[in-house]
Amino acid sequence: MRKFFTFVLYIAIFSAVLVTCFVSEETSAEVLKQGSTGSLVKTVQTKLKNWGYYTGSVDGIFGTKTVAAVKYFQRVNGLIQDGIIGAKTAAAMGVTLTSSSTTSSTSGSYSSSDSYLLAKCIYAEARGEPYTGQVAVGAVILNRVRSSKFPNSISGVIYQPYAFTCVSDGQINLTPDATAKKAAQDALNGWDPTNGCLYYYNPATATSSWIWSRTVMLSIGKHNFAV
Amino acid sequence: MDRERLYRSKDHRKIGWILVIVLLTAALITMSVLFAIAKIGQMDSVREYRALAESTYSKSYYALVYNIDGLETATEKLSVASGKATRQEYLADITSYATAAAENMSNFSSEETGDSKILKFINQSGDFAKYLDDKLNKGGSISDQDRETIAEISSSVREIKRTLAELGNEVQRGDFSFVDALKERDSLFSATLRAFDDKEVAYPSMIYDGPFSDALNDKEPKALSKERVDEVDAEEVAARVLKEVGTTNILVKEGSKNIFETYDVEADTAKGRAYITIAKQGGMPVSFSLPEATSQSVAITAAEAESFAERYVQDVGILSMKAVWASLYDKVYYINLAAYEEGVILYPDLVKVKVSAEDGSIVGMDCLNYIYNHTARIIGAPTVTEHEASEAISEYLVVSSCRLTLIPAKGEGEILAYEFFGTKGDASGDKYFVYVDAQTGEELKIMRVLDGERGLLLQ
Repeated sequence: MRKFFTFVLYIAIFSAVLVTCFVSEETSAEVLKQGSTGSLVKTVQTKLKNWGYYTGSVDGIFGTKTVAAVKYFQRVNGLIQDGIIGAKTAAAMGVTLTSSSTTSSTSGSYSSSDSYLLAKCIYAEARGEPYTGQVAVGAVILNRVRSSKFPNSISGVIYQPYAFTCVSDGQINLTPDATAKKAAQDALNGWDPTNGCLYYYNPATATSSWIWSRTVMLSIGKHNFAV
Repeated sequence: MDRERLYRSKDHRKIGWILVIVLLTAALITMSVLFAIAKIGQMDSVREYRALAESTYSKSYYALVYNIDGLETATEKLSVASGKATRQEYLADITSYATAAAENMSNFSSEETGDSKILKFINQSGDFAKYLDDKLNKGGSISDQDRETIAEISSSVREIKRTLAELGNEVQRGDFSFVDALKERDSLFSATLRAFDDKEVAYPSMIYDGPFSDALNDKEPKALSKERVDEVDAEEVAARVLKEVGTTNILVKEGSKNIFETYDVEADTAKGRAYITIAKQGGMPVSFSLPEATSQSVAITAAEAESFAERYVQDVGILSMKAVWASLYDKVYYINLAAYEEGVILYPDLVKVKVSAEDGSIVGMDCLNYIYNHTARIIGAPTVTEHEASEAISEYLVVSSCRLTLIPAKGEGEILAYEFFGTKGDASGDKYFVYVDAQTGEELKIMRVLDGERGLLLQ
């Protein structure tokens, strides 16, 4: 009987964690809703108009007509009809909600989940390295996000196939320590010990001949940083 | 009787043996069955994982085909469109199809280098379309050179589409596996993807202002003077940066050689190990961090933190700076300071300072934006008055303050703008910064103040 209760408790905790994950994901994501304005709203309106969901003008203002069109689109596409463009509706429409602007005046252009993901990658790739070396790994990831030659989000860069060994061997799933989290914060705040490097490798273990052809700009601990 | 007993004991022995054999066989069969079940289970889950990976790749592949198709149609239509509205419609389409295609494409890179020519082309195409859309919005027109670029983009996209169509025959084979094809460098699939990044393939070069334009790669550290400092000077700079916490064991090492050369300095302080990056040109501090410093409480106000930060940057040698933004996260104030000249806030010349909310000590600084942007500029006088500019502000905002600022333009360049701070007049009470061009009176940009889990942010 006691075992049964323990089991029930596990299930309850598990579901609670699961629900929390989903809820926090839903609320932390950027959304477009009634009252939103700007070029992204314009893009959405243009699309909805092209597809015949929207009859109003493409003015970049998310008004009641846009809400109705979004609900219509959601109904047809089997989505929840809330008239709000969240991650799922945006994906179905083929629009990206986050902008790729690089001229942000605060450290706040990335979300806290991005910051945690960055810390995970830093920990998996560079734990045991000097602190500056850990910040440098974070900075390389952020430099890639800003570069046209790489994906345009932190998750896109980190999970790009074969880009980071820690993703291929699963070490990315280790829990980052406090140092890696601090290093991620410092990198997000703008510190780039590499001054714009896009690559790093461990000269003792790197097997790719290509990486050796890059110009090394800096060495910290076991890593060479290059452009 | 004896004989009978003998027979009986012989029978018993026989039965014993048979029992042992039967039991052993049963055990063997049970074990084999259990093993087989486990194995099948394992194979099932391997099959399941594989199917999951395959379906994820398939989704990206078909979405890529769809988005490249859309990109092609939109560029073709744009090349014959002549009205402003239709042009803008197709430009918006190009941007959104390109954004989505880049996202799909990034799932297929099979190179450990990660950097990709085709990704750059797709990203820049979307960016270029956005730039043209902005240009049309501002009353500009599509030049002959722009038209040529569009034609070049169009032809490259057609080529990508054709190659993807060829690959379609391969992908639609019954036994095709994305996982195998990507793992196998010599597979048709991998080879075709690699061909997109081939040195021989020429994608159009796009000359424009935008976040992904090549021009941004050639940026120069404008704030750095020409004279170089040596390691002894670097030690002095480090001591100045860390004056508050006191230093011992300063260690100067060579830093990065990229763009501008730096020293990496480490030192022990009362608040743990300190890390400082110093530019060799002029000995300007680039960044500093005290990662071991901890804040246990919030004992000082944002206004106090701002004044500590202002005094600190002045002591370090960065003059005429004004705190423009404060945000509290994890008991540390993140203070943004901008250069201030002739009554104008120069937002591009930004320095970020981290202040402990417990005791007001400085625990970090970053001057990279300042280093790249700060220079002697001629700031023209506004041609639009504050009152005229305020007419551009939405009637739904209750404006409480206004000041003159210099803000970064999209891509390159800077714009003199009035910054209005206002509150939405409804129950939400949301706060906004609205920027209005001080030369044209046009509304340029809206920033929303967001009170999130990482403190106050601008969105």
